Amino acid sequence: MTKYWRSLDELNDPVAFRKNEVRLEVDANRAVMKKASSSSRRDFLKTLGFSVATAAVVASCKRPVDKAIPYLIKPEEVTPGVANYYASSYFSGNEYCSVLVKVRDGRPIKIEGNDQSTISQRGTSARVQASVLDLYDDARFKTPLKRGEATSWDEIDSYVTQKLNQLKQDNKKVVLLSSTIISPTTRKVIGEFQQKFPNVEWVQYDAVSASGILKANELSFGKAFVPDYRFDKAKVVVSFGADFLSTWLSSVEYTRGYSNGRKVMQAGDEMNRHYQFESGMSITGSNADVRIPIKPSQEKTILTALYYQILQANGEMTIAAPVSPVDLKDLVEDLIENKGKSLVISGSNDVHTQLIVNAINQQLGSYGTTILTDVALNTHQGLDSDFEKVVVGLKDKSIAGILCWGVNPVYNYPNGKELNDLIGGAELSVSFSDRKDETTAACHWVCPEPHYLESWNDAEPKTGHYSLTQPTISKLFDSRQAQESLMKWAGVEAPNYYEYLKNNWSENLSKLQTKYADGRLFWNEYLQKGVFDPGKESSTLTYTDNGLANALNLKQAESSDWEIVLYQSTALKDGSAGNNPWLQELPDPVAKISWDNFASVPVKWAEENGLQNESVITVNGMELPVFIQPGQAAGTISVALGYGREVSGKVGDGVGKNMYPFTSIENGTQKFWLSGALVNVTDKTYELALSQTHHLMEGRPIVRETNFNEWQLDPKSGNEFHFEHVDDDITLYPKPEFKGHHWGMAVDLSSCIGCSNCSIACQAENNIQVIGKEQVRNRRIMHWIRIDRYFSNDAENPEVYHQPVMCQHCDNAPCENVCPVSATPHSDEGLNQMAYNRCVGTKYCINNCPYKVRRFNWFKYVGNDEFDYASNSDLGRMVLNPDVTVRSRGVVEKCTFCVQRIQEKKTEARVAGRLIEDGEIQPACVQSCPSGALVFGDLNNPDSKISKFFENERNYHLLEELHTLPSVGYLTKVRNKKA
Amino acid sequence: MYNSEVRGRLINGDKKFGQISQEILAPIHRKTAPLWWYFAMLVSLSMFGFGLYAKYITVSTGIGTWGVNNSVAWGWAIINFVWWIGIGHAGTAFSIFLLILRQKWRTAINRAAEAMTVVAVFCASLFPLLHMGRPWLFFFIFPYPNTRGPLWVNFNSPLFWDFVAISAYLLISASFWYFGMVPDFATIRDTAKSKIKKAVYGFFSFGWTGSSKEWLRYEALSFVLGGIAAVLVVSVHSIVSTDFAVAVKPGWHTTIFPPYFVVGAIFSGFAMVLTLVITMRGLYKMNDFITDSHVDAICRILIFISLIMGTAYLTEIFLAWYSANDYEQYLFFHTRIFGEYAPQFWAMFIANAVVPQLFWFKAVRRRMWIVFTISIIINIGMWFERFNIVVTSLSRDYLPSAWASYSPTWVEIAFFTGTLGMFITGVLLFFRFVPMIAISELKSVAKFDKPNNGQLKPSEHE
Amino acid sequence: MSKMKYILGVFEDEATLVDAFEKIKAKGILPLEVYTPYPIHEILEGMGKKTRITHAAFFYGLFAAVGILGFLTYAAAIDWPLKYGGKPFNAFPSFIVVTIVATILSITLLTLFTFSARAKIFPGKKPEIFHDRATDDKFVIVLDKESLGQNAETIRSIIKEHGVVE
Repeated sequence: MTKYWRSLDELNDPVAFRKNEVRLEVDANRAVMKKASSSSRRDFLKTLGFSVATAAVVASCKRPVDKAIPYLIKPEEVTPGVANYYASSYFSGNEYCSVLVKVRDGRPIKIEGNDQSTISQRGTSARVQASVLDLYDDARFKTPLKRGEATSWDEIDSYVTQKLNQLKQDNKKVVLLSSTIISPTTRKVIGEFQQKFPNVEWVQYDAVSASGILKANELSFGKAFVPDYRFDKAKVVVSFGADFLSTWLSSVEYTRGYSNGRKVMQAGDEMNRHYQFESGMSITGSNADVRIPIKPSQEKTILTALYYQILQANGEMTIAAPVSPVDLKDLVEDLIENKGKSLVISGSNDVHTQLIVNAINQQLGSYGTTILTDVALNTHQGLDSDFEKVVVGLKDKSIAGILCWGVNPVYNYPNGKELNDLIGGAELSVSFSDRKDETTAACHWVCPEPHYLESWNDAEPKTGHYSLTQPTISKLFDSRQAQESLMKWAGVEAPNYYEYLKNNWSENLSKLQTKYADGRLFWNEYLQKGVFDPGKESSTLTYTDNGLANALNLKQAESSDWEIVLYQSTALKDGSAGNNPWLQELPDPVAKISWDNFASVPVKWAEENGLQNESVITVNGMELPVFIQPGQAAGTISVALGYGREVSGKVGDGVGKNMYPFTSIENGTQKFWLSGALVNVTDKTYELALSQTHHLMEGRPIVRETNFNEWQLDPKSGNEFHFEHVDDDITLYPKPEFKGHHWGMAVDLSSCIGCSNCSIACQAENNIQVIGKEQVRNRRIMHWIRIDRYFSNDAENPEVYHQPVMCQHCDNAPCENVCPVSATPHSDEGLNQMAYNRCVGTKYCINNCPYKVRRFNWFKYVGNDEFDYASNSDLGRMVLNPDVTVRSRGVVEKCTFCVQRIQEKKTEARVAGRLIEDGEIQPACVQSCPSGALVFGDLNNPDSKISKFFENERNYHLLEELHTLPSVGYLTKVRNKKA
Repeated sequence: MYNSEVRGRLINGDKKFGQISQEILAPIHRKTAPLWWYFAMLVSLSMFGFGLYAKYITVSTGIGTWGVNNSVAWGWAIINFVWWIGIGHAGTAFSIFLLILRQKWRTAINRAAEAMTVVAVFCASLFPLLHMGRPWLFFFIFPYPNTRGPLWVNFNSPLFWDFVAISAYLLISASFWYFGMVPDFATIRDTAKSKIKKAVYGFFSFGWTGSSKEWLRYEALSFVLGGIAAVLVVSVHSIVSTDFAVAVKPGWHTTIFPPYFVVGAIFSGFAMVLTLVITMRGLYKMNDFITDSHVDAICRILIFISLIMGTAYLTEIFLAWYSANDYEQYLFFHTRIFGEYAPQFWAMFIANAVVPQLFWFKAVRRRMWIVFTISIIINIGMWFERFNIVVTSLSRDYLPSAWASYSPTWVEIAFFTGTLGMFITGVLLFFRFVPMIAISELKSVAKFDKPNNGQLKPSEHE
Repeated sequence: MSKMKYILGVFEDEATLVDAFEKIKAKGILPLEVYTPYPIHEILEGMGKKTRITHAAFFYGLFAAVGILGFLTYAAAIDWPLKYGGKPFNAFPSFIVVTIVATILSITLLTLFTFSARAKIFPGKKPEIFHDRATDDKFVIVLDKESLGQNAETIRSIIKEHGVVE
């Protein structure tokens, strides 16, 4: 029998290793048991957490249960087999999201959106959804480390404290280098830490910072802040290279606002118009009504022209505006028409560009309406220039110590290699990172902090909006919150950040409200809700045109040669979650490529040079695989950041190429494009994992679209085929009747932006396995809900369509008839069921499904060293959802409409003796859709939202001419082009 | 009483009955087989072994080792399945149709044809079994009483029909073949020298003596089996065709399939018979029994069938155009005729509809090596037909986002090679241990020309 | 058994055998049995035996068809009905195919058993061989001495016309 081992220690000395494991667990349990004597709910939960989790996991992989603590007394609120939801907050990679954590038998297994939040408004992003898997990442540190060797907290504490004091005496500078910190309580801790050690300087460093905006606003408003953009209020949205639906600033919030401004269901509904100027095809660009491909070097010129033309339109200026490379007439008209209802943004990190944008918004009267200056977005506070100083300080040894907290400059700083040595060379270098990364590898000391699902914290993502983070499982490993480390080193004997946080809230924050006099009640209330919105505290700022003249005068040299644009990919964003297999396997929403970053090249150039997808080009000597991207601006190549991790773990290491070294620091801000790059064609090829290879609809009525003005005239427009079909709808057998429920789902194609949040949500909910690059390339990806992407019209600047396709649960399902062993019959509630244990794998159902939504388990994906991703270790398997079977090799699987959730709610309703309310049941994909494009409900209930959707003139069914009678409806895509 | 005006005697050389037995049984009575036999056996067995290894990989690792994917979920396995079944058709078709048509000349050939059938169907049956994700659960397909309700199987599924049809076909054709051999085994028993042969064949001959009682019932039996098997020949491949015709796929969902498949099957079957028979003639000097006129007859039939095939292909294309169905049109005109899979399509068309037309020329029909080559070409062509049907329809169906291409892996190829090896092995054993020609039947027709010896036209080509 | 009880007429070919057979029958004597390498219809008719295998087969078919169709309907529509692709539980057209094929199968097997039972043809049966070339190239008539009585001589002479007496 094969001997599986999880680490060299185990291989060399399994007995000792096992013993050690057991000791760790027992210690953990004993520790919490001690506390549990007071036995509050959460303490008990913690106790049960790890033990039950271990048990469940061990059981789930068919090995005898070695340790499980039986319930002697049933803990309050905990019923085995019933999930609990705890409100918490996600903040990582400058992305904030208020979430609900689904805890099942002590294990967090799923992240849901929190509808209490006024910011993320129940939406999440793929990255948030996948963050639960990071909790169970093998690459996390199990103990504190000293130069890579396991050590004890005491040793670290004694050394670091002594060292800090010594440096304090020698008056040598120490830098606390953190990513943006939005937690007021943490700021308090840091403040106290700095009081104790005045020589400590606190610098915030963001991989992809908003320095440009911060500095511009410092000039325009006298305060370095990111304003509150209100996309829901905007009638005209103009974005210059800002991918605000996917990665820019607070994308989930913006997605919600943006798509709310585009919902056209019945007459009278309004729709915003969206202009996008960009080089590569981003998700945002793919949804734009008007998309104009430009070179990054043109951006400022166009903005300047736009500014002058608006001035002219406002009659404030007489001299002729400078010529713009693109025609701005329509745009200016729209903007002037919608003064105060328009919003202009730029993704550029260049101060001058942002100054011009500010000026334009000022001219359009956006401030106070679509851009609020009295509320600041706190998620991006790092200033690139500050970090420059740190680098200098490290070089000239004026900085003797560095404490790295949630930052990875060695990886994502342009000259990271150099930093590696500088940090290693510092007298004191500590990392608080919870898992492997390049910077931590350079640090002498590692004080692992727990994952956010294991820790206490709070957040103020926006001025006047607070939220809490609470642990949902007891610490899996010997970790300690960075705050506690700082407190400890600042001299607190037994630091307890939980108490500290609780006090801070019940004493200080509770003053912001009047509802609860008692601080503890206040605390409990908002701990349960997760969010606390006492409202504004700061006041509106007034605009001044400081530095504008200068900005306008500085002409940007327009280059004729190659310009390389570096963007954050939807899946990995800045690359901090590089070891997350779910994100690595998530196909890029536009290119449909996973497991790599690639060079998106313009179609025309590719044709001229006889390039294919998967050919290889060199950019400044770096070899990159080619993807021919329709809509890529001529003379530009886009490549994603966030790949090419070297120290991240077994999954992420060596996936793609690291593009951060291509960035540069220009007048104090990091620049994410470069011009004059050397691009050479090679005759090499490199295999890419494409999950979709044909990009045209071939004139088939798959995605049906119309334009807003046509829709206003006739809501049926674009959907004629459907009504044709309804008219001559004849059938041999009578249409199936469903007594009781008849579940259905609707997809609003003009709301869906293709962000792929649903794919990952589904993956987390339904235990969908990761299969790796080679198998994705073999077209065997397992995602139950895939998002088809089509291009149409001009290849140079095409229209893009995103269409989520899940099992359509046809009432005349072709797949059901052909299964010889009755493994996939139809339920009484209109669900197309799949009995895994009955399936013998003839695959006929896969063939006969016109939508190709059925997935086959070609290999054994769980516990198989060939597929060493999430499900090949006890730890990784802790994320599995016990309500959903883990499919064995050789069976077919597919979307079930989350039947386990349907059953759960039905039981609840039955127990409570009531009917199921509309919208009560929400499949994973629907629950957290940031744009609210998905609707689920009972078609037999005439008042349900879903029924309304199905009655809507825009509704049609995919391939309805086949008469498969799908239970999924699609609403035509509506664009808002200028008539 | 029997008479054959068309053709003269069915065997050449005025042979005594004893002589017939001796000549046909010679290979069996010989102590050792010729050298080439052992050599061929070695080759085929090694192919078979290679196949076994592929099967081991398939079962132990999973069908992920094949080239199939979530869009094209059926590949070589199903292609080869249909191909083998098609070949397996010849035997029964031969015996039955020619029996019904009172074509006495079949007697010299049907034994070989039926042997081929049994082996081919057996090869075929391996594919559906092992292309399953969990072959060890294949018994789920039996509607056996169980404790799950009892949960029965899905009688709407063409795969279930297929399973019934194939197993029935295997059983029936095997017994048909075997009972045809019983009298001959008796002959071997009575003519054999060695004790062992006597004992062994004595056992297999079921104590046959040739008494009128036995013959009487024997005739009745073959009458019944013949009648039934006639239905079977038509039904089996029609059912195989429903594996595709019942689906919603463009290129599959068509009513022309059942006849088209049956004819195709007989086509490939006859081609294979031709291959086999010519080999027999060559290797065992059986020209006197399997005369040129036999070969000639089969060639003529092939011309006819090939015309039908051509018509079928054109009909399909015409209907794709005439139906004005976008999906079908795209499949036929942008994928098959011109497009990614054009080579396979044209290989099929030329090999099946064009090349066999050469048989119009007597000169071609006479030259055994040409006939042999063409018969091989037809078999290849028929393989491509199945490739066209199975793969192209799946790789270009309704949603372009799911379009995927397919190419086999070495495992699939080895699997196929294995079945080829198995087939050849089977045939070699047949040559060695079973009378290749139905002796008793042959004897019954050996002296047709007795009554009208004078007017006998001399056989056409000598 | 001793061959003494019997007279064996051994002939070289079909025609002579038939001729002799007719003559013997004309004498009002029915040979005990006739052994031939292949079926000869005059003999089969002449021996005046009938077989009802064909009728049996017909009834097998009838019952099998009814039984199978019955089972399918019971299993699919009554015992455990399941919804498949919007079809009614009793999807009769789907059942036809299986019924036909399964019927054919049962007819074949049952008929085979009947045959081997009635004709006593089954594995390992000990054959009673009167003449070991009867399956090869000789045509043999077997007569019972007792039954012949006084016309034994005439019979012998009839046989001798073409064949040999053993």
